[in-house]
This record gives sequence, structure tokens and C-alpha cells, in this order.
Amino acid sequence: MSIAIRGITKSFGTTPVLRGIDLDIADGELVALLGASGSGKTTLLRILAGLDWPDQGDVQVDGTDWLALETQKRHVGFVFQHYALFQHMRVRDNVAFGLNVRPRGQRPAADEIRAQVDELLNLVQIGNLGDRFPSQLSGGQRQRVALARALAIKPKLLLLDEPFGALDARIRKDLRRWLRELHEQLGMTTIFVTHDQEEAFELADRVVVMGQGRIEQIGTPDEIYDAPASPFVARFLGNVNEITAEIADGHISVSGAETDGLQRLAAGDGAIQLFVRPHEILLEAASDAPARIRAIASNGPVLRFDVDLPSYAKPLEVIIPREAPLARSLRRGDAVRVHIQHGRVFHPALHAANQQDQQLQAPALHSSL
Amino acid sequence: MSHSVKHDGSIVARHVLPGFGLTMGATLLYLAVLILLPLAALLLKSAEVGPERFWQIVTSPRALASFQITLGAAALATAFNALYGLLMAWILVRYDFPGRRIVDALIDIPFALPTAVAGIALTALYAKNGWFGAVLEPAGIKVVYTIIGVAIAMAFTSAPFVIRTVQPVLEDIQPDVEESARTLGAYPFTVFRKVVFPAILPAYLTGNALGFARCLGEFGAIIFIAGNLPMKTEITALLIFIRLEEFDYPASASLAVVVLAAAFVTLLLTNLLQAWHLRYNGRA
Repeated sequence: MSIAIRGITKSFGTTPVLRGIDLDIADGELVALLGASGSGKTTLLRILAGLDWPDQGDVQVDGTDWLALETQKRHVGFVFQHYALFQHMRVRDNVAFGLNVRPRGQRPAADEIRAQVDELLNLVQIGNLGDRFPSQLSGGQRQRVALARALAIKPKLLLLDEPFGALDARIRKDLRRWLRELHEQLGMTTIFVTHDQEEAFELADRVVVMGQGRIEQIGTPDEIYDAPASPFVARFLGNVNEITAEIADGHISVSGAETDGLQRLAAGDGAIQLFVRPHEILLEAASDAPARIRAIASNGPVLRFDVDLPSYAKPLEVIIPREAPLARSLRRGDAVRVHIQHGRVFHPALHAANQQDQQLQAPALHSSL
Repeated sequence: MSHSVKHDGSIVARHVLPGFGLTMGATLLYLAVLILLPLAALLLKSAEVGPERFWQIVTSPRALASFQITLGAAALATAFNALYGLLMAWILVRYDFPGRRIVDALIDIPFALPTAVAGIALTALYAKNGWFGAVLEPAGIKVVYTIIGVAIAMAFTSAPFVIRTVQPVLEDIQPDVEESARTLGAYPFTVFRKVVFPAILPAYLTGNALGFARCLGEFGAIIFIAGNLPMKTEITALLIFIRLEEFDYPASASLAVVVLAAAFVTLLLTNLLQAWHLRYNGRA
């Protein structure tokens, strides 16, 4: 089902949690609401499920006024962060709950419910656990029960609140892949909430980045990664170096680092913040260079260097593939030349002028090393 | 309890606190001296009379009438508290209203108040010229010197049991459990019947059983309001007291054994039911 959210606001007491949300979700889409705690993402999800009501705004689902429908009539599959299973019921009865509570006329016959439950348990790959109680299951298995229970009412909209938040890293990864496959198999509109950027990017068709009750950016994972719309998004996507740079005649300079490859910027002279990701910086051994390697961490496929620039208190974070020839020869304390290849600025004047100009690239330097 | 490996490789269990032997011994001694010894003495005393005489005592018309009154009034009081206690626990947990903490504190008054004080207060209220009695008696409802009076006194002193056992369990139910039931299509009454009530049922049964057992043993609060007419409003506890005053120890001990057995059976049944209801969380 397609969803159109318009101008949703919501406060708890005097604390605003949603400050005007506009969002369209197409039929069959898998969308992630990504944000830190307090960004309002869970509240938005609960409003769609009918567990909270907005102060203002409108939600249309397939053209019907969604907010006029009571929770029970929305037939939304909702999976809670802590599963919210019925502890006193066996797995089978948990899954059957949504069918068993239907009014007598619409309730399937007992053996039909049984057959449907068996089918669902097989779908979520716990066909052999139907007679257990929730307390006898592992976290991952409970999550599957919660999902089967939500799917039992044949929802056209599936909502998941931090679905993998309480699980081990490895199980989380497996479940993520599996959920993606399940979504492709069932094809229902799915929205999930997460604070984990990796999870959102891996799973979702589109990611909605939220911060402080507002939508900061909507886009595919690539769009958001390549062109974060604001410093907030750039920071939220993880490790980014924020470097104070100078602009003079449109040329960007960072004291102690090479920035020749960066595009010229049509902005007035002065100081700006340059956002540079760790892999957008290259190092070159040079004994006369002012930068020094402070620390090296071996981090799986990449090596992470902390590099001190003379005029910055905070070291720059740089990552280099383990296989790169330079990676193994550099030692702690070595002098290095720092080449900043790419960067982004979020300058108020630029923001109004031309979004494309924010992406600063130096292809020549990139290919030479 | 944690395990540590000794130098020779064997694993020894280590207790978090030292002195397990001493504390366990003290506890068992306490249990023996304060609870088991008097009960054993009671059984021995009643055994003195022999089975035939015992049967004669406990099946005498006056004893049977007292059992009937005690059990009947206790059943009435428990039924009342089952409803009232559940309601009270629900309100205290689910609603926030001015003075909630005061009401919460008042719940324990029947435990703290000497039961005789409660009895006198209730008698004063329900007597013909009391605040309640003045209204009820003209309407044809006589409370004082009837089984209703006995039941009211019992209900008063055993009221906190259901509230205090259900309250913490109700507090523990996470809101998301009820919310998930709603998203699955369940309306409030169904949510209560299928999700909330089964969760609190074991505690609820315990509360009712404790309350019932307390009713069987209540004495002080009842004797003032009951009028204590043999065969009509004389409870078993009072009959035991009367026999004791007559220095008829075997008779009073025999009756006491019956009350003890009734309380014991109540608690046993409740524990069995509770074990069955808790089978799902491995605590059974």
C-alpha cells in the first residue's frame, strides 16, 4: 500500500518529538527510518500503527484517511523491539493470536488456523518450535516468532521497530539478509526503524534520515552517502573528519595538507568547515612533511591511521586498504604528506547557490596514487 | 554462586556470602521452634483423645455449624476481595490520580491495625445506631450479629492480600505486549481476557488463597460484630477459644487441627494451580 504523510507534528507534554514530517512511500517499498534516539523515528512508526496519534497532520494510505481508522482496523503488522511476545502462550498460540481474536464470523476454522500457523512457522524457519514457550527460545528465534505473529494477519504494511537491536552482531547480519529476501518474496510495503546506518543502508530501498523530529534527507543509500544534505547527515553516517579550511580567491587550503586537487569554490574569502571521509585522504611518505602518524590500528581489510596535523588538536582519521603498498611501510611517528582528495562543504551561501558545487573532487590526484 | 579452579584443577563452588552453614542452621531452628513445634504440639494434643472422640468433637452440631459459618463467610469475603482487590490493584497501577500514593499507603492499614480495633470500629459503624446501620437496618439489611457481619470483618482484615500480590505483577506487564495485541486486532476486553489476566492469574490465585486462609483464622475483628450466637454466628476460632476457657484442651486442639488442615489444603491447592500456570517460564 502507498502511504502519503503530510505535516505530522507531535509533542509529548512540552517536548516536540515530530516537527512537521512529509513523506511518501510507494507500494512494496522497503524504507528505513534512520536516526539517533530522540529523533522521533519510533513515534512516526507508532503513528502509522495507530499506537500514537499526531497533534496535527494527515496520513493517507491508498487514498483513505488512515488516522480515522482505529488501531485494530488497520491490519498493520508491527514487530516490537523487544518482541512483546505473550509469555503464557506457546509459540503456536502466539502466532495464531491475530486470527483467534477475530469476530466469530471472520475467524477461520480451527484446523485452517493450524495450517496457516504451520505455514508461517516454516516461512520464518522455526517449524519445529511451535510447542515451545517464548522463554525457551533464543533472541533470534523470538524475533522470528514476533515476525510470524505479525505476518499472520496478512498485513499490507509491515512496521518493524529496531528489529535487530537486541541481537548479537552475527545473528543480526543473518536475519538482515533473510528479512531482505522475505520482503522480496512477500512484496509488502515495509518500514523499519533503526539507529544503525549500516543496517539501514544494507536493507532499505530508500533511507529516511531523521534528526530532532525532522526529516534531514530522503534518498537511496547511494544518494545519501554520496551527497549528504547537511552536516548533520554527514556526521550521522559515521566517521568523518571535520577540518577547518580557508578559502582565498576560491581556492581551499588546509594548513599542513595538500589540497591542490580540490575544485575551486565560488565563495567569499574566509574560514569554512570541510567534511572529509577517512578514505578520501591519501598519505605519502615524505621526510620534510609537517604531519606525523600518531597511531596505526589494524582493522580487518583496512588500516586506520591517526595523523597529527600541526595546526589541529584532533588527529585526522585516514584509512588505507591493507594491500596498498604504502600501508605496510608506514610506521608510527613517520612524517607524511597528507593529500585531501575529496571533501564537502556545507556553506550557507553555497547551499542556496548550487548543490552540485558542494561535491569537491580531485580526480587527477586520485588516479596518480 | 561462582566457580573457581583450584591448583589441582578441581572446581570448587564458592558462595557469594560466607557463613551459609550458620545462617541455614539459624533459619531452620527458627522455623522449627516458632512454627513446627507448636503445630506438632497441637497435633499431639488432639491425638490424645483418640480417633473416635476426635470425630465426635469435630462433627458435633455446634462445631459443624461453626465450620459452615466460617467457611461461608470466608467464601463471601474472598469473593468480595477478589473483585475489589483486582479493581484496586488495577487502579493503583494503571491510573495516576492525585493522592494515589496516599491510597496506596492506606491499603496496608488492615495489616497494621490491631484486629480488635477494626472489630470495634466496624461494630460501631454497622450497629443499629451507627452511620451505616442507621441506613441499612430500616432497609431490612441486618449486618451486626449475622453472617454478613462476619464476612465484612473478614473482608476488612484480608483486603490487602489480593492487591499486594497482583500489583507488582501488573506493574511488570510491558505496555508493548498489550499494544501488540491491539495491532493484531484485539479490542480492550479481549486484551484483558487473553493477555493481561492470564499473566496476573498465578499471583491473583495466590492472593485469594492467602486472603481465604487469613479469613479462616480471623478472630479479633469478628467477635465484636458477630454477636457469637452458637449455631448462628459463632465462628470456629471463637469455639476453639471457648473450649480453651473451659479447660477442654483436647476439644479445642481437635477443632484447631481442622482449621489448620483447611488452611493447609487451601495453600497446597493454590501452589499446585500456580505451578501449572507458571509452567511457561521455568519457575514451576
